[in-house]
Amino acid sequence: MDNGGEVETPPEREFDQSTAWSRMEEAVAEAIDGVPDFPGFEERRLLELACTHNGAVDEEYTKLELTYVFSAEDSETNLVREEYVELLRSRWVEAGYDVHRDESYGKDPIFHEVEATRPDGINYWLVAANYVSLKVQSGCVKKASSDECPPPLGNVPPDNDLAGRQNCARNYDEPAEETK
Amino acid sequence: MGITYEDLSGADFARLETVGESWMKLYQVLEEQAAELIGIKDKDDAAFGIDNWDGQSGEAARERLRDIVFGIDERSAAARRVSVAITVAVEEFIAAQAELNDIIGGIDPARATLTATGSLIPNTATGTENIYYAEGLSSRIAAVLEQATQADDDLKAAIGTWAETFSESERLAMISQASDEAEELQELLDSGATPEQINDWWNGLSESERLGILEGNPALIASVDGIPTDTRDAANRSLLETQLNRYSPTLDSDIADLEAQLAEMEANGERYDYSGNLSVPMNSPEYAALSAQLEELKAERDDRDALTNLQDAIAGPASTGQEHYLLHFDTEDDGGAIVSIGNPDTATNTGIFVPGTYSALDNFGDLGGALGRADAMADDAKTFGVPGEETAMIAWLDYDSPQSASPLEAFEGDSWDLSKLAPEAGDGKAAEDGAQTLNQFINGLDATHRDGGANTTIAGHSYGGLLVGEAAQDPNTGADQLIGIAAPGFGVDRADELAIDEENVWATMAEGDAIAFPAGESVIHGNDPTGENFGSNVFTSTPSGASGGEIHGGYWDDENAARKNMALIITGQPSKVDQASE
Repeated sequence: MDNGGEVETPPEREFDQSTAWSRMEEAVAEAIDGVPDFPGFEERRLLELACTHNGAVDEEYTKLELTYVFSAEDSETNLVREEYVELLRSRWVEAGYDVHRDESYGKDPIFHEVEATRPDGINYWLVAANYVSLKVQSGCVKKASSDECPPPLGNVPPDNDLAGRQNCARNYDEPAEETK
Repeated sequence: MGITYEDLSGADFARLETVGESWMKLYQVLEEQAAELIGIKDKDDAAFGIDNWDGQSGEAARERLRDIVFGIDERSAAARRVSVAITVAVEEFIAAQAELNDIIGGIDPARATLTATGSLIPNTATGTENIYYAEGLSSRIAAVLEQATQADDDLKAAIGTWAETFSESERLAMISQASDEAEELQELLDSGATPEQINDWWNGLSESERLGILEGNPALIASVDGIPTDTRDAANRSLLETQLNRYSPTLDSDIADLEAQLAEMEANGERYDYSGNLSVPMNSPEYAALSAQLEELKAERDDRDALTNLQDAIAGPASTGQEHYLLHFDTEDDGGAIVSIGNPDTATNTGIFVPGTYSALDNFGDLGGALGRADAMADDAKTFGVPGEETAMIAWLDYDSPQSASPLEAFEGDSWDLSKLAPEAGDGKAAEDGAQTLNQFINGLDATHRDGGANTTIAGHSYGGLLVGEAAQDPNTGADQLIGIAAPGFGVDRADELAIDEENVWATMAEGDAIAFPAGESVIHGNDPTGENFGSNVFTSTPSGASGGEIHGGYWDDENAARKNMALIITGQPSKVDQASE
């Protein structure tokens, strides 16, 4: 990772914070599009992280991490924790995304993690732990005004849409087409 | 008036339960409204944002909106507490009713007759022994009614306090009735009572007495280990609000006026007084006095801003949906705070994150500060945690964090600060002192935990790693697991010198970290905890950044393996941790 200290700012991105959330939702929609027997997600969360640079927090940049979680019951099924992992891994390989992490570990149950980065820098992190979660990470993006509030995908019950409840009181933007 | 037999035996608590649920709904609606209002002002291009409403009036409007948000936040917390109080009361009423029914069901009609008002008439036709039988039953019924009456009084006090249905005289009466208890607590504290003793004493109070102390004397309990988390949170939030209200509303303009005055004096040549010995120019008495006044006001402004940031950071729930609990704050020196994400009194696992050098109240709530990192750890614990188990994640800054780490810092900036030639991070005293405070805090959590204690992990970053290592040397530490994240040492040379079992001692140091030192070498704070001979479990982390300094601060970056590993340790799944030695 050492670049000789030449990089003084995070790399230029084709989007900033103003559209990051909807872009990440679009990434989730792409991932779950046409997934067989999709049971839906149980929860949506949105976490903001610091973008550090040269050992200090870069106040001009931020990072977002969007998490969709399957229910505990669905997370136990072979369909969700094994078949979906295989399916998404193949999709990401086929799409030419950089699958830079792919590991299985532990037992009862075996955990799987697959990470893939799209050309626009959006990173997928599929975690099949006790719960199965699909995380989408923006990476460092320039801070910008944003009042976007995309509705949740995958039939997340309103009370479990923590991202929507906390960031926009569920006053969603125009509903996106639900991916079944 | 107490609860009567007729009240209790015929009561249907389903309606009360529904009322409790309505309060919980109200809490959720208020939380969402607060979030919506935050959205209106926080974004520059939002309706009340700076792009749409610039200048003083816009600033005033945003300030007013902020007050409204905190008003709503306070109301939503109150609604949650009313709901919880009703739920607790319903449980107690139902238990009392069940006990009453048991007593009634066990009455031998040949020996005593129960009247409609709950009195028992002994059958004396066969002698006097049934009189004792009836008296025994009567006293059992009386005890049950007393229990229900206490629950009713507690509920009344809780609703009176949180829903503010008490008149001022009722509120003052409640405070006054708890004044003896407040004095008792002060005596206990003065005598050096342990958190467990404090908690035992607290549990012996009625809810009215507890609320009386909370309402009348929040400062007495706000930072006391052994007082339940929910109560400490209410006390600290109340104190925070009071403290913020104490700052003059003209503080900013007062500072601007003083700066203008000083600038004018400088422009007019009135700064210096040449009348002293040898005509050496000295600041004139007036200039010096104004400068001193300015410095005082600036310090006050810094405190106010830091507290405002803290209040903003704990408004509403965390990204995990868990509540924030404010367990301590102070503005002494660099200031500090303790905030829990989730309630450690009910959690299965509790992680306590101790930040390192340069930590202070003014950066506590930042994304890269203690709370921001604890937030990420709470999210990770939810991602990797076990269904049905909650993890409370605490950001703990209740020690005098070093504010310098390298002698070179003495020569940074416009003026040299030679006190930094001996960097504070090289001195272990702050860690040793902080370790005692931390262990006392953990003992408090053990005492207030409703099931006898959680699986508690102390995790320290950088100098915070030294502090948790010092805490883990105490044979009485309540910590079950220890994590050092880029720790300069645990204050010992080997893991077996700690009071925590070696199998529960964890450490990581990413390759290229600025403070990484040759493995195993003993430096000022003990041997490298990730060294081959130290004896801890070393877990992997990703060098995240382009320089040693960046890597040192990069353990919470989105793709850092340390995040997953810490979550697995904290949630009690050590077998799944990716160990570096394997």
